[in-house]
Amino acid sequence: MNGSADDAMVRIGLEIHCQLTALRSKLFCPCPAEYRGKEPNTNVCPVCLGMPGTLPLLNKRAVEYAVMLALALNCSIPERITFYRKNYFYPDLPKNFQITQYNAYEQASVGVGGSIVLDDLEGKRVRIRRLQLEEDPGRLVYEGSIDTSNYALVDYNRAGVALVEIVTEPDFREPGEVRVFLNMLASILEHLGICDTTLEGAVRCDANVSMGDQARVEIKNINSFRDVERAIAFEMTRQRNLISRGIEIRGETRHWDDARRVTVQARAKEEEEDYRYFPEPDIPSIEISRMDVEAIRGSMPELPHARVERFVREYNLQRDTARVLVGEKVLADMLETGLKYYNNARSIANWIVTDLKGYMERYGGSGVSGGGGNGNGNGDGSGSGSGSNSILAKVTARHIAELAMLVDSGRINRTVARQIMQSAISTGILPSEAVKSMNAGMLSDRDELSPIVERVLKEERKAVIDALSNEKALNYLLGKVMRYSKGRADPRLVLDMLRERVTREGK
Amino acid sequence: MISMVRSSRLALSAYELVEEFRCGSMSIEDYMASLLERIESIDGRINAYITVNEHALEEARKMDRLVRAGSDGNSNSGHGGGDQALLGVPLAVKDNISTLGIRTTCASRMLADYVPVYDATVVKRLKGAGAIVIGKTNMDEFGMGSTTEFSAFGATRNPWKEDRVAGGSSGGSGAALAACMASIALGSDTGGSVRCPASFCSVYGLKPTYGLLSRYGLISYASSLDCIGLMARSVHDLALMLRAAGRDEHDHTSIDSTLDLRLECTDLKGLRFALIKEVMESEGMDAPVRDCMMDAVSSVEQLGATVEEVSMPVLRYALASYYTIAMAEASSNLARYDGVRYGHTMQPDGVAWNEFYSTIRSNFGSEVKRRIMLGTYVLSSGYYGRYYMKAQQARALIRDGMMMVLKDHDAVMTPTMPVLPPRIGERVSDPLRLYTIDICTVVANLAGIPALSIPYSMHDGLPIGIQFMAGHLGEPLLLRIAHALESAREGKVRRCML
Amino acid sequence: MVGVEEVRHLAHLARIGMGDEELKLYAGQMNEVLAYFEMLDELRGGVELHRMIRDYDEMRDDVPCAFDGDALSNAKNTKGRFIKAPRMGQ
Repeated sequence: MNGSADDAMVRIGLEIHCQLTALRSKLFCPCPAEYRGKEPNTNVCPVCLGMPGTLPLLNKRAVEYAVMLALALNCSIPERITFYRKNYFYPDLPKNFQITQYNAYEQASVGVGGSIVLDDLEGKRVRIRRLQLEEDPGRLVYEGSIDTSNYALVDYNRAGVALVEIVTEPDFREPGEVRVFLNMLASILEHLGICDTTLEGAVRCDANVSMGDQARVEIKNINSFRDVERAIAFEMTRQRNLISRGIEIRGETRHWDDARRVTVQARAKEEEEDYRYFPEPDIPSIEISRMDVEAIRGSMPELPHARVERFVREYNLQRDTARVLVGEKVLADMLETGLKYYNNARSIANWIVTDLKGYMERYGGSGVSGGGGNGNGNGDGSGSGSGSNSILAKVTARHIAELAMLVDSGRINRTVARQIMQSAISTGILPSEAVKSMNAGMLSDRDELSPIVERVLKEERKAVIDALSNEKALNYLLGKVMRYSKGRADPRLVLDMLRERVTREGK
Repeated sequence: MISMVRSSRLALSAYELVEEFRCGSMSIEDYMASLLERIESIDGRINAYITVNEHALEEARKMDRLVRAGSDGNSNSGHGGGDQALLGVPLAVKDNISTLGIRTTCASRMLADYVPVYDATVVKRLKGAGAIVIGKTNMDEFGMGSTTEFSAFGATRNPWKEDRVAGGSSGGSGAALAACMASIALGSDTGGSVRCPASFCSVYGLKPTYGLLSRYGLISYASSLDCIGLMARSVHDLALMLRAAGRDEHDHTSIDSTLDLRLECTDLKGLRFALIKEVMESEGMDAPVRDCMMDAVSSVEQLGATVEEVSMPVLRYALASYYTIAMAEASSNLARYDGVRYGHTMQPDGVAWNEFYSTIRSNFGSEVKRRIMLGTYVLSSGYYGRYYMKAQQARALIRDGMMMVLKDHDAVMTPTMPVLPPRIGERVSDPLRLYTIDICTVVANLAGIPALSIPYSMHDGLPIGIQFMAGHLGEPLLLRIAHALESAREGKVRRCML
Repeated sequence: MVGVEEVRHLAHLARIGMGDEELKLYAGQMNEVLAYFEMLDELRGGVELHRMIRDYDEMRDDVPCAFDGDALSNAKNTKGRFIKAPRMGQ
């Protein structure tokens, strides 16, 4: 054992499974890829059920998407890729083997040896060991719990859906780095348009953790990105405790129990050495010419890195602001759509980054939701609901653009703008409409406003004196009046009145 | 009103039959009824069929109506689109080839009541050409065997001598043809399973180029070696059946083809054949087989071919290579039979999963279990490099070796089986000894090339077949050779009992 | 040489239930066959393996098509639309 538990070198690696949700059919059969919300076993055919005599039929587009992702992660693409069989018995696996890829005997997977640079971690480079295509298993459902149920119920609707598995080198040192990486990955997936990371179970993550020269522990069954951090943190603490008590870490697979927020020893499944990988004889090796690769590269949409640079260059945004926007593609898209309504990128960007994002975080986990078990499919995850999505269903780019424009033009102040935002979130009303209806109930009668203005002048003597020389103090007074009038006062009229009164006071 | 047709008619070739049906000299229904009658009367002894299609007669009647409609000037029946080259022809289908709505057992307890929800592509295409599936034929369980003794439905007897095996694994198809219980038949050939029973039953058996016939619907034994094979009593019929060939969108390993299958030439002038020294000198060859082989050599020479001996020492590894690869792939292909989605099962309530699977899967027959166990072993991480990888290397060497020989020669000539049909029970108890009789046939599967077993002669009432192997897509050449020998040996070799 | 314990592990990997007598029988037969396969080990590397190769463009187009038929008509253990399978506990 090297040194104390606290300064032992921590190595964290990830295995991430992403469904290629943009595909229309499954990976090896023409069944629709969209299985969510369907009656059990209604999205199946003889091929994905592994019926005797059926053969896998590789989805061409799946290869293209996997190549895109491999290119985005700076992997090299072998000229020839090969599928392998991973043999193990499980009721959710119709053929009792999984068609996947395997690199022990040759470079067979879609991508090998990539890396990704994380700007949010001062340019830290995380290496990608490989990227492979494989099929998703079905799902097991238990009445009651796995321990009390007398049998399992199987739904094969998901069986055969295309997955890309990304395996990183153990380059992470702490859970926070994992979060930054996963957010970056989610943004890349969203930008490529190959995986809707907000769908339940569309992205799943396994982690492995080792300390110093101790054995490596795998953590499976992590159902959301947020839990990845928690699971790794728990596992680090658990291992440190053992090491500090002089107990050796066992190489094992543990499951994340998200209810109790602990990792628990997994039931023994087949060991890696028992999978008996061999080349899938029903699928020829697939040749991807350099021309094909370049054509696929050429068809790729703009990636996050490039988009950040463009935002800085074209829109004159702060780099940090640009990164926040691009970190969640919907936000970056919102900016660019918003420009059609109001051509002021900095202003719209500020509204998105400071206000909208705040609301999204308050109303539910921002970013990627997980769920749906791990790559081996023995999970029945329940995804976290995404409140941020419901906000984005109501608040569009046009809302934000109008809001920014109304404030910038002085027609409303920020207080009113926030109120409008609040009602937009619940009703979806456009700010321009909201202002109109507010105007209807607006206090624009001098006699009605006068008592409020007088009250503010009385209370804010210092501001009144300041206002003689400083226009900003006038705005402060306006804000007060707006508050007392519950936002109903006509700001222009109030400003006029304040100016008159202040000038009079100064005489 | 069904009238029985003369029994000698049951021996007609498919192409002759189609003519009779077309001109209306015989109804398809009458013919089918006679055939079913014959199956009823003799198959209790032969055991060629596992299942007889209960709709065969009805389908025959339907076909008759089409013929009548056609003769009324409405020739475009639209049935399957094709030219109805197999109009009304009774087709026997090996029971590991999927037939929509007809149970398909692989001669296994595991699939005893399994009914496919789709037709194999080859079946679909032959039905489209007018063929009628008459029944599903007996076989070694999942194709694993060379005698059709490893069937959960009992062994098939050789119609020529009923104490002998019919060969395997497509023994039912071979016996059904020889005993005139079908006109044409489908088998499958992973290491000789069509050619062996063809040889033992004195009919033709063609293992096509790998991929020429779609495997969609053929229940996998060893995917990289499996081929659907064609069996018939005439060369002409093989040519008709090859209409089922060609690329299939359900099988990525299927290949395109445009084969010129006209049978015009009846000589072998200018053709060069190779004998393989290591095969000719092998100790395991029965004397009558060797004599027959020598006779065949002089026959082809008389027809104008030249014959030379070549040496291929690498064939020493053929059986080990073949069985290693076949068992490895089989161990994975047969993992799906677990009683969850189809096939033999039991109530899962309260049963632990490992116990459930192990109990269900103990219902495989002994030979299947043996091959699954060996296949599991050779793929294990510690042994992969020593067995599976080396077997693949041997396969590549054998393939390259055959390509070299076939560069200088048009075809390679061997006996199909080195032995006469064994007595039932004679070889089945010794696995390794049983494997060795596949020595001549496995080569074509390892190399992916076409091979044809031609009924050549009889010894003591037991058939002997000669095998020709040709290069990639060399089926037209193989048919030409067979056609020349068929013409030359007219009356010297019987291809059925009637 | 495979021993009975190794055969037991293989039987577990292949999920084939076997009693002790059967394990012994299979161990014997397997050893005989494996001894024959042993000759493959004489081959030395450096051989280019053959493999069927297709261009990725020849693969299936991403066009969905629902299966027309009841693909699970052979399932005997069902509950509603679900397939019943053994539970995964020990």
